[in-house]
Amino acid sequence: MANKVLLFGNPNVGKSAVFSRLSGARVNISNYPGSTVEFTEGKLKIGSDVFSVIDVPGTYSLHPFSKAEEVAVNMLSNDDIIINVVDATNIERNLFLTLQLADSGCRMVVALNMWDDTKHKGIYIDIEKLEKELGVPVVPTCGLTGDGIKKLADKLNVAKNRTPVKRSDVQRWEEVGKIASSVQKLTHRHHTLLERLEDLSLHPVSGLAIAVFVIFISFGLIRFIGEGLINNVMDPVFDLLWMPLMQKLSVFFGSTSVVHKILIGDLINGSIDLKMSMGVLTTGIYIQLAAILPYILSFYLVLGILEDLGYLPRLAVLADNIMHKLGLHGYAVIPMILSLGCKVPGILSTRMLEERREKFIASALVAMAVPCMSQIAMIIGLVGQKGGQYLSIVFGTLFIVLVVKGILLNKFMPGTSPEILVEIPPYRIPDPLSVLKKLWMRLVGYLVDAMPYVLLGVLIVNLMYILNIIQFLADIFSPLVTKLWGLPKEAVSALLIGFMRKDVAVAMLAPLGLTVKQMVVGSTVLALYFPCIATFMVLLKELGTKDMLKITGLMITVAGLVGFILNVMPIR
Amino acid sequence: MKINLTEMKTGEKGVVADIEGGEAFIKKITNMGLRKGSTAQILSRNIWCGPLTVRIGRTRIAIGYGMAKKILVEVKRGK
Repeated sequence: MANKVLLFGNPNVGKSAVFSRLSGARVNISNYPGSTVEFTEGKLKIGSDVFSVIDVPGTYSLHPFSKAEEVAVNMLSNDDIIINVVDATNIERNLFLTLQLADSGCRMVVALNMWDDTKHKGIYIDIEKLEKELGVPVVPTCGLTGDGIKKLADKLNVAKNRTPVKRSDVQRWEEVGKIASSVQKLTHRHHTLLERLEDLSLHPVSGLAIAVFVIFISFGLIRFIGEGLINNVMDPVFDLLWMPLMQKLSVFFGSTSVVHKILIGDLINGSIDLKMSMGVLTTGIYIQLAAILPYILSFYLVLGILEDLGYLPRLAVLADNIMHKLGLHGYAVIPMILSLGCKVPGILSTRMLEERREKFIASALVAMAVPCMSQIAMIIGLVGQKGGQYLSIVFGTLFIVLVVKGILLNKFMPGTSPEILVEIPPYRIPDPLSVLKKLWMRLVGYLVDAMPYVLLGVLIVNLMYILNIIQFLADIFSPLVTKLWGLPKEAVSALLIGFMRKDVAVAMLAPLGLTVKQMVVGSTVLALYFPCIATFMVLLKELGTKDMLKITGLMITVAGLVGFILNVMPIR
Repeated sequence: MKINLTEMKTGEKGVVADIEGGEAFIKKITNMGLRKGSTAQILSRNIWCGPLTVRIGRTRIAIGYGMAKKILVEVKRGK
């Protein structure tokens, strides 16, 4: 028996938590063929039978309105068993999909999820009666604690289908209303603290205050976890285990050989420097695993918690207003916030934007005008010592570029940004198990999506060094750098290194004895002029060559212009 | 009286009388739980024609301003 078990349900009904409880530890995230819509698949063992369990994207009905819903509907097949996950605290809406599924004659079991919530919400549901009304088995579950999941799995063998019924949506909604009022009893109860917070976080004033607080706390947490991992785990591991290996390799190849240059890179003061040597096996691996991965991990952890808490739609609603002026949808605030940490997950998260136009604008804005955490830290280190006013020039310029570029792209790109229409879920305590599973899948996704490309990029740049192409480029661009931006000729190498690591590039400006103005111009231009290699590769993968080239072209143009404007400004 | 969602005050309740616009839009919003005859309450509004949040039964949805204009509600007001 090779049947599949498909989890169907409205968005925000705790479907993923039920999925985590049902499926084993090994889960795969895959793209539905021909789309960027992702779904998760795991295995479920009942007795000697092994089922493949699929967490289908959330859908309100079987008439699809978005790509995700379309995928959900396409996955529906009569050979499979459907678990319809229903939010027990909102059956008036959830049962519509249930009826659609039942009417189409699917073999199904209904999981009445969030069952524990019904008690303190003053909702009483007569399960036997509901089973009778629907004609399929109903099991109360709680994905968060795992209650009822065992029973749900047992019921799969008795999953039933009823005779298909043809009726209109209006009739179906009427039926939903009838069922809901006959099986459900509501009692009065008081608002809980979480529910009060729900309304406060939507209010334009208190919501904004809460948003600032949440973002602030999230960043604190991300930095704390990220830096903790780098300093206490990754750096020691690399120093103790990887370095000795690299030193042996370095001696083996001989420091002047071409292979050494490519794999190990340059020796800094006679020894390997994992951050600066720029070899594929040294800096290439180190930056990926020790410098970026910890931040990605902490980012995705915090993001996962915020997602499962149900906060993100609220943030999207608050930001929608401003984002629309930039040609984006409220949800684009998430790639922007993510990119302040690292642009790689930032650009990957533009997948949640539905339209290609939005994806392009969000990627273009993020790639250029949102500096990443490591870069911010270096700019503060370099420019900040001269005074806060210079920092505000750098970051203020980046912000102006973000806004102006957004407005212009919105104006001149064909199409409009779609209006927001999302459900605002109630706040819920996240389930640690599903948060961790999601984190794991995203980390694997990052390593597969970005790592090989970055290593390839480092390899290509090293080859370009060896073939003197970099020197050639430096000669071409030096007039631009000196005349247009007023930077010394030596800054060219920093700009070229910036392609590999923007933070290292900022650091390379430090020993050049720059004036304050040159520092301001240098740091700003470094942020704007070109995506770093990891970003470049992710852009290429997500948007394709054409759009990536467009974005890169935009970046070079804007950097040239902005650097020039700053250079002629009276900054002293 | 019959007004659209954007003309409602925060906290005000009204019964959805009509949803204008294309079939796709109507179906989509109906599937989310907002349909003719349901009672909608405005939870929050945003400045500069930002999205509104509306409660229908136990569902809360955020609706863009332009879409909200297409949703007509019957409200009871004094005078």
